[in-house]
Amino acid sequence: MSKGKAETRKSEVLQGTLDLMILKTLDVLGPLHGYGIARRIEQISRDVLQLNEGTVYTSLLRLQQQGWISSEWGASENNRKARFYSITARGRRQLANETENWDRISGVIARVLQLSPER
Amino acid sequence: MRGWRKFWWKAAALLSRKRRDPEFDEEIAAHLKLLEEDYRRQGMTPRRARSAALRQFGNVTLLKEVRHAMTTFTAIRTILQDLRYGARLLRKDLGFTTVALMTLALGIGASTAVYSLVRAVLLESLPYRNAGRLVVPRTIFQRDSYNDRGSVSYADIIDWREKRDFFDAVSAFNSGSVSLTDGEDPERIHGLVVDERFFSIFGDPFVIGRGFTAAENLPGAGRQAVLSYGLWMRRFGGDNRALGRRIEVNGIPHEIIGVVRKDSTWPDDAEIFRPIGTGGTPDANMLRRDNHVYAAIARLRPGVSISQAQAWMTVAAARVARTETNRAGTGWKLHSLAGYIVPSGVKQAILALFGAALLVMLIACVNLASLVLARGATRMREIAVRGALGASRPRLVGQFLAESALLSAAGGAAGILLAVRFGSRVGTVCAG
Repeated sequence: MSKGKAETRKSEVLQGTLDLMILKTLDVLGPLHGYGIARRIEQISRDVLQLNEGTVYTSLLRLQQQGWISSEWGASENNRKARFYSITARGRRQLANETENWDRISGVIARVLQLSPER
Repeated sequence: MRGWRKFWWKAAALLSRKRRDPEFDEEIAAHLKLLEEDYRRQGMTPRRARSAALRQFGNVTLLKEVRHAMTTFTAIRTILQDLRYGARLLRKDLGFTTVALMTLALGIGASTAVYSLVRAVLLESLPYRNAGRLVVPRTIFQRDSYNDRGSVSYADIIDWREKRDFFDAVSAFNSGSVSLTDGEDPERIHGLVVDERFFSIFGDPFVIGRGFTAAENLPGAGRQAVLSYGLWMRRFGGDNRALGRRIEVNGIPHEIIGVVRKDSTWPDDAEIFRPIGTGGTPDANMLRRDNHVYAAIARLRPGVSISQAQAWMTVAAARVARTETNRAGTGWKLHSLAGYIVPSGVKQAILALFGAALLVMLIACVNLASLVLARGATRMREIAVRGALGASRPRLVGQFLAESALLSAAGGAAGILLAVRFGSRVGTVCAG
C-alpha cells in the first residue's frame, strides 16, 4: 500500500477536509447514515469531488475515535436496519474551531493572491 | 489527548473476542444495496446495477483492512496469534515438547537450586551490624589430630579481654538443650547461656527489650531470659506485653526481658538465652587454664585485621602453652564469624557444585538447541508455503520466537518448581 509522496500528501489533505465536511453535514442536517452522508456531500460539492464512497467510512471511524461523532442503530427510509451518525458537543466545538481556522487561512491566501505586481 | 481516545478504542477491540466485524459488514451491505436500488431506478439490469454500485463504492476488502488496522493493536494481535498457533504446534508434537521441557527443567532447576544455596551461604552477609569485625577465638588442640575449633578456658578469655587494642569486646557463652516446663506443651529446645557483652557484640538486635546487665550475670542471680523471635511468636503470639512475664526453664521461672530479631541466627539455632553467671570475681576453678568449657565470640577494634590479631594470639598462646600446666601443644585460632559458620571445605564444595550446575545448564542449552534445529529442518515446507502466501520475514521469525518463548516459559516454570521442591536437599547434602 505504498503511494508516492505527493499522492500521500494529497490524500491526507483530502481525508482531513472530508472529515470536516462530514462534521458540517451532520451538524446541519442532523443524524444520517453512511449512504445519506455520501449523497449529501456529492450534492454539495456538485459532483466536483470524485471519491470512492467507501472512504466516507474511514473518516467516520476516525471521527468516532476522536469522540466528535456518535453512532446508533436505527431504521432507514425503507425500514432497513442502518447505523446513524450524529455530531456530539465536542464535535460541534471542533467544527467551530476548524471553521475559524479555514476562514482565517483562506482570508490570508485571498489577500496574498490579490496582490498586484508593484511598479 | 487525542492519542488516548484511539488507545481506548483499540483496547476495547482487543478485549472483544470477535475476529470479524459483522456490524460493519452489515453497514457496507446496506449502503451497497441503496446504491444498487438507485441504479436500478435509472433502468439498469440487476447485474449492471450491482457492478456500478461496487465501482462507485470502491474497494471493499481494502476498506475493511484499513478499518481493521485502525481499530486493533496489530502488533499485539499478531503476537497473540503466533502464541496460539505455537501452542497448538507444540501440543501436536508431544515427543519433542516433552524432551525439550525436561531438558530445560533439569538445567534451570539445578542452576536455580545451587545458586540459591550459594547466595544464602556465601554471598549474603550476616545480618548483624559490623558483621565483618566479628571473630570466633578457639583453642587449637594437636594431641590426637589437628583441631582448631576447640572450646576455650575462661582464663584465655580474660587474656583476650585485656588486649584492648585488638579487641573491642570478648564475650563468653555456652550452648545446651533446655526444657520449657510451663504451659500446655512442654518442649525441649536449644538454648544459650551468655554474658552481658554478648548481645552488644552483635549490635543489640532486639525487637523489644534488652540483653543482660552485669548484675544479672553474677553467679546465683540470673533469673532473666531473652527469647528468639520464633519462640516469642510461638508461645506469646508476638505480644509486646510478654516483657516482664515469666517462662519456666528447667523448672525455674525466668523473667522475659527481651526478644531478638527475626533474621538473626544463633549457634545451634538457639531459641532462648539466659545469663551464664560468669560475672563478678571468677573463682579458682573457673581460672584453671585446662578447663576448656567455654565458647567465645569477640569483636575486633575498627582498623584491626584478623591476621594482625591472629599473629598476636599465636605468640601469646605459645607462651601459655610453655608456662601453664596441661597446655602443651595448644594454640589459639581466630576465625572470622563467616568463615566459622561456613568452613572452607564446605565453601569449596559449594563452589564446585555451582560450577557443575552451570555445566549442566550449558549442556542442556546445547541439547535444546540441537533439538530445535532438527525440528526446524522438518518444517522447511511449512515455511515455504507461508512465504509463498505472503508472510513477511519478520512474521515468520515472530512465529518461531513465539514458540521458543512458550517453551522457555514452560521449561523455566518447571525448573523453578523442581528447585523449590528439591533445592533444600542440595544444602543438606553439601553440609553433610
